[in-house]
Amino acid sequence: MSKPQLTLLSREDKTFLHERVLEVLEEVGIAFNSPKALDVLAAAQVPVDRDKLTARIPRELVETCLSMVPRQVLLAGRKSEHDVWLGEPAMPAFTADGSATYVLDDASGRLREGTLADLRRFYRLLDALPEVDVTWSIVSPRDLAPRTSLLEIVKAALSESTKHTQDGVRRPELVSPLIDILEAVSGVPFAERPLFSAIDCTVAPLQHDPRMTDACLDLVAHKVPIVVMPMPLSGTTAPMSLSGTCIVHLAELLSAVVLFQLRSPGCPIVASTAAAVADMRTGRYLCAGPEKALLNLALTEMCKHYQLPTEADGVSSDAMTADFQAGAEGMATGLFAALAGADAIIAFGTLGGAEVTSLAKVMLDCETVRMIENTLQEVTLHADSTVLDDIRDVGIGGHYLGCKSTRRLVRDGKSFQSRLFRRGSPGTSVPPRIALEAAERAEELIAAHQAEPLDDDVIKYIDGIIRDFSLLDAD
Amino acid sequence: MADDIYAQMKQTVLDGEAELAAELAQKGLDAGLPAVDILDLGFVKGIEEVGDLFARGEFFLPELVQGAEAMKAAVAVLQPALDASGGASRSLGVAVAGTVAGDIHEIGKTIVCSMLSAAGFTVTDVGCDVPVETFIARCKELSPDLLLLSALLTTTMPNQQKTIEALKAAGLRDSVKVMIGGAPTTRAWADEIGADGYAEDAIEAVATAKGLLRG
Repeated sequence: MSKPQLTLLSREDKTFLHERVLEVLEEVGIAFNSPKALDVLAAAQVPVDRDKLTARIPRELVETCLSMVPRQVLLAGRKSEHDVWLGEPAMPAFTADGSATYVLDDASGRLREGTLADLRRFYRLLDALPEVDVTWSIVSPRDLAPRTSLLEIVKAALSESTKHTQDGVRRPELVSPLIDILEAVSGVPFAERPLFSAIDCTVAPLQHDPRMTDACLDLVAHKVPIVVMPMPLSGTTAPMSLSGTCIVHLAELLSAVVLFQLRSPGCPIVASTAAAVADMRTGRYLCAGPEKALLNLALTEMCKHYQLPTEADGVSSDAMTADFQAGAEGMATGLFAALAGADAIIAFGTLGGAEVTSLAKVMLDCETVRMIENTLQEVTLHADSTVLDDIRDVGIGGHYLGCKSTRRLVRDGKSFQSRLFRRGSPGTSVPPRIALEAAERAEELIAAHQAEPLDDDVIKYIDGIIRDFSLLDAD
Repeated sequence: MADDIYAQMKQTVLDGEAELAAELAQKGLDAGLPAVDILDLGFVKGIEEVGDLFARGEFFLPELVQGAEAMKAAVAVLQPALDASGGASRSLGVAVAGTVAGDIHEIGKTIVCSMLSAAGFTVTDVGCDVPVETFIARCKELSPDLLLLSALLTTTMPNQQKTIEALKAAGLRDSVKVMIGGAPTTRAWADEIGADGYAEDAIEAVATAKGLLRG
């Protein structure tokens, strides 16, 4: 069996990048910005600077900690049929993107700030779509109190969907109520059914967010999978070159691996590849384009070289509507990550450098994802013993529609069948924009679909946790 | 002779050569040229042209930032002489900028500072993770025309609001225009917390800043 693959890095390239990463960690060091993190590192004899809250990590420790990361990670769904194992040789999982500021009305083109009601609709849609394996809060609801917003978001995710969900945990005091909620839903200790994984965004260049890091230090003690997501930008927070951006990205990633493995040996970690590119006119974050596609490829190769379960960027776009630009960008960035062997790919729902989301974009991303999945199918060309029989039977002229093999392969999904993309004859008039049709289809799914509801008792318990947490003294 | 050295000064800003800019600033002072003339006839001409080239799409951010750095290096050399002479260079206004408490993301704010400098503002960058009290103290100290507050996290956006409230409590709100920015912030949020201006990116920030000071 063979499967399409794409490689950019030679063995020498990988060695070069890794050696430079080790030099950065050992010589430049990294700012953890957290006394608690420095305590963990100092206990392992890592040289730390208590004033600057930095550490220089010895190369031997990096190698040791890398070897401690589990090669497979379970992202459990509320229903076990939605369980996702990362790190197994299978088709990649596809996850929602997250944290957009605006919701786009695909029909009018108007943008507005997202609300909890919007988010619940998106979770319902993500649950209804078979292409989606993992959810994330596609939009950040602005009508939630900042203190309890994560808990409300997780409640919405678990109420509207039975799939695994992930999100950022920005403060350590959220960890205890979050674990309470997750265990109330699963009915078992978290580690048995990890319904949630935490996204840890480092801060380029070479820094960790102190509160998020402290939260992760508590989360790894519960064996919550941590998706380490450095986001250096070529040209501003990372060197402009592909190699320089990779080195900064990987140094941040491996510094997190070291910290979390020291805190909780064997804790599940997922590597992400969210390095991107800065717009050299405005400084804005660009998450698509050829440079980003190459970053996805190179970083996915490096993460797999480290044998880390990898959740790669992404079917991503800087376009402001679900249009031609969005499709071209999403396919280029997503396919490169897929062909490099990513275990999961962030795929659904965002536009405009992840600041905007729309229902149409979620639906059209499903088309892109299914094309990627079709591209990745394993094929065995040399063992196809019947192929010549068909050609002999049909002979010169004739057709293959009557062949059993044609029927079987169409049924097996070997031939991509679009749901929304138009591939038919032009007819006599131009049909409405595909995005409008996609948005209408999304509305139909949202109206018709309902995930298996949580028990009333569980909802009451969750509400109690959120209420109690909201009454505690804020920091 | 003077025209020649002024042209060289302008060129150091166009080339983004900070060390050379500082050297030429010192050379000009040593030659007895007035500090205000060195600034206005030399380096300011350079930063104005950098701004024009950027606006026309011929220069990119690295050229803009490095031009601003060269300008800053020259001003550092000239500052004592400028203070002593009581001369003042032309400035569009004084701005204080920082990322609010709890947030260590600063690239957006840094780019805005560079672009404001290149556009002719006098900018003090107070860094990231800046407590409300520090913003208030710097406003008292520098009496800026503009205060720019950046936030990249939904969890730190409330500190933009807290800073504006603290300005009111300190009796400073009417003397300074407040602008906010950062990926999760919106025009609606700016209106809600009573900011005077909002910008999507650094280019819009400069236009907004100019608009606010024109009144």
